[in-house]
Amino acid sequence: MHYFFQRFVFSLLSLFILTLITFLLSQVVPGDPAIVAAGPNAGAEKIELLRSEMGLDKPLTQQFLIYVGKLAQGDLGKSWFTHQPILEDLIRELPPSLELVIIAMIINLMISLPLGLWSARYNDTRFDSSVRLFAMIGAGLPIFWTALILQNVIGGELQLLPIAGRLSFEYRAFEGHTGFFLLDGLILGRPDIFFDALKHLILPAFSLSLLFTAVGLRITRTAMISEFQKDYVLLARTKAASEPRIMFKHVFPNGAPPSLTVFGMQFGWMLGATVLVEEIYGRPGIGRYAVKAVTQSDIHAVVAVVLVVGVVFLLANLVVDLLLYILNPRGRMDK
Amino acid sequence: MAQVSEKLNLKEEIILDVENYSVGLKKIKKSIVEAVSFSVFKGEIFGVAGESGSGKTLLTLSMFGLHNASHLNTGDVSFDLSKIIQSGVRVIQTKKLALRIGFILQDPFSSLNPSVKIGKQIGEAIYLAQGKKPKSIENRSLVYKLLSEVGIPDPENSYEQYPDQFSGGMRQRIVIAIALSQDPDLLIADEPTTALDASTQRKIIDLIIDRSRQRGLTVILVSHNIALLQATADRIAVMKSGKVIDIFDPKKIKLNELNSYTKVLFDGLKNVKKRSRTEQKQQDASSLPLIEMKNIQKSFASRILQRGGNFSLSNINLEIFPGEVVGFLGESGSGKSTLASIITKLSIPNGGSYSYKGQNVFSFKKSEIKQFKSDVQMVFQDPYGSLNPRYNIRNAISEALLIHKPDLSKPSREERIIQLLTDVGLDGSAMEKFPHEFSGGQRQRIAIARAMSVDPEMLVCDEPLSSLDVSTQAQILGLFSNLLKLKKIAMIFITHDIKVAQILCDRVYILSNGQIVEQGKTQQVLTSPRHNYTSKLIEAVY
Repeated sequence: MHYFFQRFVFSLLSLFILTLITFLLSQVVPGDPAIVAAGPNAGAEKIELLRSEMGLDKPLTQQFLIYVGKLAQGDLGKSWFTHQPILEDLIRELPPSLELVIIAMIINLMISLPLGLWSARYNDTRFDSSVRLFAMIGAGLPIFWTALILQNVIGGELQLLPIAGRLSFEYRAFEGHTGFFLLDGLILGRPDIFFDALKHLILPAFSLSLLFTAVGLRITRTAMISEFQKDYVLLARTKAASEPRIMFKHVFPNGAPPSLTVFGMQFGWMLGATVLVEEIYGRPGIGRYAVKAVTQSDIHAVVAVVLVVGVVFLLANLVVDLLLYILNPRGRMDK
Repeated sequence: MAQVSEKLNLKEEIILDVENYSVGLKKIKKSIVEAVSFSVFKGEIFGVAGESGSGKTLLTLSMFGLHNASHLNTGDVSFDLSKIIQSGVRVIQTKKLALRIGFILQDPFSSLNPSVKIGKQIGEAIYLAQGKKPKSIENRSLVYKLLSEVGIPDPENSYEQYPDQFSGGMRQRIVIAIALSQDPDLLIADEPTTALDASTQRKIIDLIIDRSRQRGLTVILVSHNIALLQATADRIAVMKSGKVIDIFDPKKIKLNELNSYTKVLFDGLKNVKKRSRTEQKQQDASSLPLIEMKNIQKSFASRILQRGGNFSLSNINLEIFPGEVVGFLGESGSGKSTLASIITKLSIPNGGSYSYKGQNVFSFKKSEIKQFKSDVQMVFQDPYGSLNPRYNIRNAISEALLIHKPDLSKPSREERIIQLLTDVGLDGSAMEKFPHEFSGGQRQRIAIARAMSVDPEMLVCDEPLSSLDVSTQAQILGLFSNLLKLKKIAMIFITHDIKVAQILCDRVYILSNGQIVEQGKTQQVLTSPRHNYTSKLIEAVY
């Protein structure tokens, strides 16, 4: 229990540092936000008015307190361009991206864990060499390039999967409750929606995950190889334990922690990389939103995205730490 | 091998028959173990002796398919009358044999799964061998029975604990319980006590022998310690460079029939001459101690504590006089290395006073620290780890000279290096070579030469022999004795080996749990110990 508490406090502390950084981020951006927000034709009075409205005339610490207070109420500010509350934008843009990242993560786990374990077991065989080759190629391909190639070949030439969007044209009017179309499809009892959304996710999710899978695979393989060399594996063999038993009951739980730690971080990185596939596959999402905000100098929106990605990153790591604790009941991280 | 036929006459049954067996490694197909033949009889304890690299582990593990990197070349092996290897091809798979063979491995710290309760690990073995479900009451009560049989206290509670909650000796007992749970016909123990302290070592060996005799088990006991095998085994096979050079019954040794190498192993340190009394520096009561420590304390945050060892020190008082050889004796975790690191100023104690030549070490100025670091030199346990692999020997030694004796000219530095190498039994040609081109013993010689290069007042040697083979140990010990004759130098010799202390040291400090429990003249302490712990150490020696 002590461990959970420690992790929780640590996450809160990280969250505080994150808000501080995002706040400072909005301060160091060059240009007077009030002038930018007022537009090119505004007079000095209008700018002054906006400045006090935006709280820009108060001391920095006070501005930070106001910022934190607003954050606590879920108020991320207004976009200076759309004049919409940013929270609403995020509620609209985050689910498609999260959906994409979760599916990409599932693909990542489903490939890198078993393949890593198997290639460690059959270390230095032809199978292992081909896995390593795959990992090397995967790690070397840029995400946007993979996305373009898959879109062209599988979506375009072979016409096996849709090339863009979240749903097919006939479902364009569909609106779910949660914004996660897979989940909505299930809740509303619409398997057609579920499968249609899934079909649209496969190519972007795979493109997004390939690079991360390659890294996860290598780390899993290395960790598992060092476990296979330990004497307890030999002892298990002398107990006449079957190979699957040795692999799943003995080696896997001991070799998984390093990979899990990496997967936790990858979740955050993936969210940051969604823009690359969202642009190519014409999907709405937080990545595209962020790029738009940056190009329009919409600083509040940019800060909000940074904050949200950071929070997701922290949450993913918290989940991983709890998983590690479950896998290692002795809490070996104490050492 | 006259003994083998002798035994056959007694019509004992053979459980393991090895004929002309050769095995190499996957990467180098050439045989490392070559054309080995021997038989093991039912119910006997068969010792396999040899120094590191002689192929004893490869031989025993590869026969049963438990050596991952091995590559069978030729030969036949039968186990209990059925062939398991025929002409270098495995005909019975490991899994079919596994239940009939119990294994005890060298390192108890890695031979148990760290994330599974020890009770469950024994239970798994019972389940796989006898089919009793892991969660059944029957299985659990068998585990309890085994735990108490191997001497684990409080089986009910121990069942629920994880390996890292046990000491090395206790873990080895758990491994023994796993081996016994399968009710095997043959028990293979590969250096089962090498990773353990001397006093634990004896108990574990006794346990293995006792339980095996009770059950009529056949045991193959692999060890580099021939004295241990002599005390326990019915027959001993001696291996050297992948060949079995001798098989004999230790109770009926005919010395003239033994290979000369076996005799070297047997003699071990026996023939190393003790430093004679006259050589031992007469301690002048009036002379100033080189080093004086009073009430030294050192404690660590609990995170550093591992493997049950408590490396903290309390209440250390000691004096070392110029030209004196002092031994620090104790088991692992007793704090001897921590003490050495304080003496060499590599770590700083939490309390107490420490003076060198009457001066407070903690208030040294920069120049004094430099002088101190040149006066006090160290020789480490692992000679390979302590030499930079990218430096040839000339560079390795001149580095120290350049720092501490910068005014030496190049030719005289060169001359000095050659002299040093000669002093330690090497010659000038060694200068151009790199550490990997030397054997372990030669590397230790180089490390000693390097330490001696700056004319130190004192040499601190931290287990300088323990990574070396017995025959090499004797040579390095001889080298130390010679050096002490040549130069007036004080020496601290850290060791767990009483025999080494007897040969070399004028005085010993016995350390246990971070305290000095006894001290005095070596002869006196080791012949009539006053402290319990000292007697325990002495009794544990084979």
